[in-house]
Formats: sequence, structure tokens, C-alpha cells
Amino acid sequence: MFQQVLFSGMALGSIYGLVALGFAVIFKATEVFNFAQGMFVVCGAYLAVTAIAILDLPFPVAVLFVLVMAALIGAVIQSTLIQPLAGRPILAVIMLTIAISIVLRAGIEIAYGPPARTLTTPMPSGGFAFMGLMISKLHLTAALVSWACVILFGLFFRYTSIGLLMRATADSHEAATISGIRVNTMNRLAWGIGFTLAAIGGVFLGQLQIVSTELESIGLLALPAVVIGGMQSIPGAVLGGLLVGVIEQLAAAYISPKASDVAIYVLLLAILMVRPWGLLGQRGINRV
Amino acid sequence: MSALLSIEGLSAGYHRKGLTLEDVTLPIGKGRIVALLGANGAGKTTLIRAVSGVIDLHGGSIMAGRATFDGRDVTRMSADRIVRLGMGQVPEGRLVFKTLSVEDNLAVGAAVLPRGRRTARLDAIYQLFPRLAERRKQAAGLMSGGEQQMLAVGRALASEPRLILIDELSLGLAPLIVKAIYDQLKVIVAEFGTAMLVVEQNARLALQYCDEAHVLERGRIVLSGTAAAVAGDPKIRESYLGLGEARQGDAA
Repeated sequence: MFQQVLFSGMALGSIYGLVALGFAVIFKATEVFNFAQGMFVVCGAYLAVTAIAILDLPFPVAVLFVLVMAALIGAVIQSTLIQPLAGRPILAVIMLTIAISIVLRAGIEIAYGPPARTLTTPMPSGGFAFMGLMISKLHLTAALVSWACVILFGLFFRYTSIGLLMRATADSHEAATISGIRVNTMNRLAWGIGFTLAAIGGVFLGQLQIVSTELESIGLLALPAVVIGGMQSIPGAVLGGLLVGVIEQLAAAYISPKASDVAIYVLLLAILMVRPWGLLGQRGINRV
Repeated sequence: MSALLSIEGLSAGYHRKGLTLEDVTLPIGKGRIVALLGANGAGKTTLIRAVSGVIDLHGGSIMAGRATFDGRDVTRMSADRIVRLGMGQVPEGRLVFKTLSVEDNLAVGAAVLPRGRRTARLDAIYQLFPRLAERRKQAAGLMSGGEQQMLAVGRALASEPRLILIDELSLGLAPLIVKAIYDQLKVIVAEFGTAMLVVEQNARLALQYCDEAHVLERGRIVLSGTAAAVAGDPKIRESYLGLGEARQGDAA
């Protein structure tokens, strides 16, 4: 039983980690605490519904459609809504992200109607027994794809020259500007990536559950995940997501499904008391 | 007339605070070191910010006048574009990328260059500042102030600029290190022909290295000339170099 719960916790946690990574990329680049990240997850699920059930695209094209649209929407949100508020008090920007999520929710409910949709893709389903565990193929795929995305992003961020420019921009907008970096382009890129990672998470959550705007609350688990991991830390977000997934499943299995959110926030509180900057966050290196 | 950078009648200020800079005219020729001297609050930093396009990041703007760089009007152009045109900057407070390594800091500076030219440029910078080569892998935020200043100069230089604006290089650094960096600025001008606008509170220091100097007081240029002429001016000797005789104090 324990291993079984651990497995589904890790699988779900991998998706949360992916969504949290998207949140962290946006936060690191633009210092925006994005309350719309949960809704971005929902958008991803509905993009998949659009591509597969409505447009009836072949699966690989559908995947491409979801990725491109997600990146585009993220970039457009940044340039039309977030960027004009650059330099304004942080509270205004946070309120704006809440507004974005409300508008997205309403837009989706108007366009697709209130009833939930099911999302079926050619991804492997069913399950197999492995060392006494019942392994769901969809959970396993979700975890593997999430990890592939995380690693791919990590390599991009650490080893490519655009990744370097993104890290420089995240370090200091002014220093980046006077080094000739197009800061706005980098910020758009960060929002595009952040939205896309959330959307990928949404495609899996939509299949594991059902596609409706209620998925937002699952997407918003990215918030405790990044706080646990350390706001500024990219690996921290992934680790935080994993922890949230495992705790959620353990609490649901051993206490009550109603207890999972409580357990997550108890963990959050406990970690913040010992390490207010999160597990992998930094207290900041400042000198001179 | 064929100045590399020509600033004409430039006025700038921060919102709600009136003009910080009034009607400033200042030409910088190719390969020249031009010093801008003045006390705290005279508007030196504002001039750099206005010319380099970052003034809006600090809540200010250009009210009048224009800046022409290499024949192109750069007034109110976006800061990153001005850098890509060949005007680098060593900002007040150095502003190195603290979380990035020395190597990465320089790589960011060189990123505007075509790929093929980057390595040679970075090698040249490591030769100018061997200290940076020793610290290649170190996070910039963990280095000493002097090393960070070298890095800021190196990063500005990495984009092969034709002009570098340098803001208060000596601030908070030990005199020996400041001298070492200024010596390297001379080498940079000789080797690469890079022109420099050096903003400096320490007039004595700047006048040793510059070709021409301008003195800014309360946002206006009150004196311009060759380094020797400015250094010989009685008022400058009195209030900036501390050399004037008491009797001559009010002569101007």
C-alpha cells in the first residue's frame, strides 16, 4: 500500500513540479507572483481538448498546437498586460494576475460551456504489475514526460546562450539592459516558457482527471510547491512539487482525502519555520 | 564636428524634482578620454543615464536637447539598442551579475557580437585584467569591490564598444586599485581606440588621465577645456583640487 501511494504521489508530484517550474521561471525573470498559474494549467487542458476533440488534429500536430499556442498566449499576456505595469508596486501586478485568472476562467466557461470535458489521447493507458505494484501507464508517462521537460529546460537554461541571457536578465534588469540584452524579449520568453510548462501539466491532469476549470485548484498547488522549494530556485520548484504530490497522496490515503490540502500547508509551515527561504532557496549573496 | 558622441543642449530630470541637468553640450571625439567632474548631486550620473537611455528606469526623462552617436540620433532610444550601436557603460554601483560567474558576466557582455568574434575579445579582456582570468569560475557577487569594478569594465568592453561611459569608478575602492584600473583604461584606449566619458568626483585623479574635462555644477557645465587648462583654472584649483590660495578664492 505504501509503495503504491508513493508511486502515485511521485507521478502527480512530477506534474506539480513541472507547473511549479513554470511558475518559478516567471517569478525569477519578472518577479511576478503569478496567481494565474493554476488557470494556465486549465488553458493547457482546454488547448488539448480543442486540438484533439474539436479540430481533430493528428496527435503529433495536436501536441505541437498545444505547445505553440501556450507559448504564444504566455508571451502575449506578458507584453500586453504585465509589461505595461513594470516598475509599478508589486501588489498591483499580483492583483492583475488574479484578474487574468478570473478572465481566463470566464472566457473558457463561455467558449466551451460549463460541463466538464473528457480528454482522450493516444498516450498509453491501462496498467501493469511491477514488483507487486499496480503501475498506471498514464501516470508513468506523465512522470517521464514531466521529467524530460524539466531536464530539457535545465539544459537550456544552464548551457545555451539564450539561457545565459535569461539568467542575466533574472539577476538584474538594469545590468542586463546596459549589457545590450533586450530585456522585454527575455521576459516574454520567460512567460511563454512558464505558460507552456503549466499547459503540459494541464494536458496530463486533464487526462488523469477530467477537463474543467476546477483543475485550477490542482494547478495552484504549484504555489506551495515553489514556496517550499525556495522562490528563486529552479530545482527547488521541482523538488517542492514532488514533495507536495507525495504528501497529498499520503494524507489522502492514510488520513482522509479532505486532509491532503491541510497536510500540504502544515508541511509548508513547518519548512518555513526552519528555513524561511525554502529548501533550496538562497538567503541572497550580497557583498559590498 | 565629427565627434563620436555629441550631446547638444541636453536637459533632463526626474519627475517632481525639476531639472537635474540643464542645457548641457559636450562633444566626445574618437579615442578620447573625456572627464566629467563635479560634486555630489551635480548631475553627473543623470547625464550618463540620459545619454545611455536608462534614465526612464530611474523615473526620469530627457526634456530637451539631443544626443548623436556616430551620426545617429540616440535621444530617447532604448538602452539596449544604444549598447548594440557601440556605446557601453560601466554603471554607478558596478551592477555586475552577482549570481553569475565572471566568465558568464563577460559572455553576456560579448553576446551582442557575432559568434566568431567573441572568444578573441574575451581573451583580450583577460589579458587586460589577469585577475579576472584567475577568478573565471567565481560568482561575481563574492568578489571584492575592485574585482567587481574590473569585471564591470571588462563586461562593457566585451561588446567592442567605440565609447564607454564610466560612472564613478573610484567610489569606495582603495586608491591603489583605482590607479591600476585607470592605468588599464589608458591601455584600452591605446589598444582598441575606445573613447571614454569618465564621470568622476575625484578631480585630481581624473585630470591625470583625461584629455579633456568638463565641470558640472548644479546641472550646468561651468568650465570646459583640455585637462591642463582645467587643472590650471584657479577656481578648480581652489574648490576641486584643494590647491588654491585663499586670496584667489573669490576671484571668479
